Amino acid sequence: MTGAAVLCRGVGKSYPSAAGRVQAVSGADLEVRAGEVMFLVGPSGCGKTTLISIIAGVLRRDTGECRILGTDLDTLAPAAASAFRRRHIGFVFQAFNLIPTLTAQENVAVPMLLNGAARSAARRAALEALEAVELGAHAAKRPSQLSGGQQQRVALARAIVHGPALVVCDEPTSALDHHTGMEVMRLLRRLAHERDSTLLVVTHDHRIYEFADRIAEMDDGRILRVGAPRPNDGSTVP
Amino acid sequence: MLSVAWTMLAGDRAKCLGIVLSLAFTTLLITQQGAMLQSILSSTTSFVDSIGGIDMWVTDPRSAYIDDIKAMTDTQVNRVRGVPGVAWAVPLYKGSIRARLPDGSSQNSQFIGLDDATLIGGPGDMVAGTLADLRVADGILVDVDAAGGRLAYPLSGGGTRPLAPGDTLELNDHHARVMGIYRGRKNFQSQPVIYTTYERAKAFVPSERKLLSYVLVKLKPGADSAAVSRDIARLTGLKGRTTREFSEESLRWFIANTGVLMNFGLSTVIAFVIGGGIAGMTFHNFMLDNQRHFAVLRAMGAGSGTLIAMVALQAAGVTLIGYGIGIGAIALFAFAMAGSEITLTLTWSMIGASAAVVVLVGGVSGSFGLRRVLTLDPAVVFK
Ligand SMILES: Nc1ncnc2c1ncn2[C@@H]1O[C@H](COP(=O)(O)OP(=O)(O)OP(=O)(O)O)[C@@H](O)[C@H]1O
Ligand SMILES: [Mg+2]
Repeated sequence: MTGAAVLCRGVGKSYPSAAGRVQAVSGADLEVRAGEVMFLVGPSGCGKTTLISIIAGVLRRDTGECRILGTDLDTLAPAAASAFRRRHIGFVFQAFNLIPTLTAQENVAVPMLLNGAARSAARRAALEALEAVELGAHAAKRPSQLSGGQQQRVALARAIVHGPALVVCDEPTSALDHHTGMEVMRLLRRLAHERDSTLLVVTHDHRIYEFADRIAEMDDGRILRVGAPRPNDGSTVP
Repeated sequence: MLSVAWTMLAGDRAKCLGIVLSLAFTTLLITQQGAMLQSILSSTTSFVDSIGGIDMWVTDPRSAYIDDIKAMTDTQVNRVRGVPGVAWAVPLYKGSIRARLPDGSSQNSQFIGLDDATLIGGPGDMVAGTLADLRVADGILVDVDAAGGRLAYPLSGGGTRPLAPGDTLELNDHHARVMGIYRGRKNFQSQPVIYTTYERAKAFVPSERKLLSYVLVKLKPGADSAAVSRDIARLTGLKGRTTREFSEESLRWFIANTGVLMNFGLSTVIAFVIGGGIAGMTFHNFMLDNQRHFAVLRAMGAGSGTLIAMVALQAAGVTLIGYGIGIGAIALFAFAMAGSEITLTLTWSMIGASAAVVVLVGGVSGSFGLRRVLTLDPAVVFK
């Protein structure tokens, strides 16, 4: 795919709070090119999660424009927006969010089933995806029988199993130790590359900046800079 | 996704079991209490209901219900026969008598005397002998439960055998010969019920001036029962009620004058509140525990229809299984209790009513869960 996977202009979003409204995002501009790995970084409370929620279509913006794969999700009816998300977007969460009573394979099969795949096809695709994250041998285990890193790898498999064009990740490594986090990012980057998926990753973790093609720095609800990661020191170049 | 929904619930063994068992418990208690109540209520009027082939029961006007017998004089039968619209009328005696067994033990029994000529009102289901055998001197009929139980024949070497035609009993120091055994409906007191003829009954019971309990009436074709009732009251001073009216009036009297409905009603309500409450709460808990997962599914693009189907399946699944276990247990219970003093009448209407109640519980907790799921903000998934 060529062109922009994500194109946001002047996106604003505020939340009601006790002391009036909190402006979580105010005029954010962000472009993520198709096939690239983009990191979204910034201090706590600067609006990263809010922005990525808008991009993923689970939160409506107040102002501005936002096109995902050429589509403005806010103009879609709820059913169409759901259909768009299950077809084109993969999700990775900080807290993994696997369903505890399902096996790894059943968890990974969920996006396939949501997209109407037959059970056998869904199970097959799930197993392939688990093999891609090197967990083929653990397919029948439940999340509680897996380590945190393994659980996040199951979540990666779930995010990519249906071949989404865009994978959004909120703090995918912050619940993991350094080594495991690096392992997860290595797999995530490889999978996205192999499957031509665009990757948008919100993170605090300087140590994984090397996995980004570009890094967008955010503060106070705005994107301040976008640049390539500088080798070895974890900060961005202007 | 439905299999995912089921695995989500069934995978949580403890909670799933909790919901299923509390629904089973609710089903069991409600059905059991209801069936018990139904048994008791129907046994109170079984005497009226079991006598077919007649249209009307005539009693003393002060008689409020079936067992409230105010005896009349025999001449009343003839007076009733003279009322317009009456095709025929026969006497019926109902009272109690002491039956003494050969070993000297005695047993209070219901004693019923049938019109000598017609034997109208006699039992229909004979196990041994025939109704007509009652015409033999000293003849009586005994119900099969009593024949094998309270009136069982004591053997000289100890033990008993079922009473059979040819055996004799002492009824109030009169010699009576068992001519037949019949199968009857359970009565409320679960006493033996002994049949004989009207004249013989009069001979057996301590002599009183008035012994007529009821006059059983058949109406002429096309006669209006309300008009005949009015004429009976006007011409004889007695009270005529159709079988159905008499049965219903007796039932109403019983309900109004005993605590039975209140007691059973209360325990049924308690069963419903506790069982249904626990089931509902546990299901609600399950939905609370899983709302994050439902939110994740919603974020990942599960449509409302999918989520509704998932929750509906979960609610319907536990309801069905719980109900099945409950009804299975009650059927087993009824089977085990068959033939004992405690009778459980499991009717389809009872089974249907408890199904309705349990489905209500399942439906209410399911729709609460559904509301929770449908109003979920998928944005919480990133929190
Ligand atoms: N649902 C909400 N209701 C009210 N205020 C909110 C809500 N969600 C976020 N906020 C506020 O909006 C601002 C931006 O929040 P957001 O979660 O987007 O920041 P973030 O960059 O993801 O922070 P962190 O790095 O801590 O995750 C914060 O001030 C936060 O308190
Ligand atoms: Mg955040």
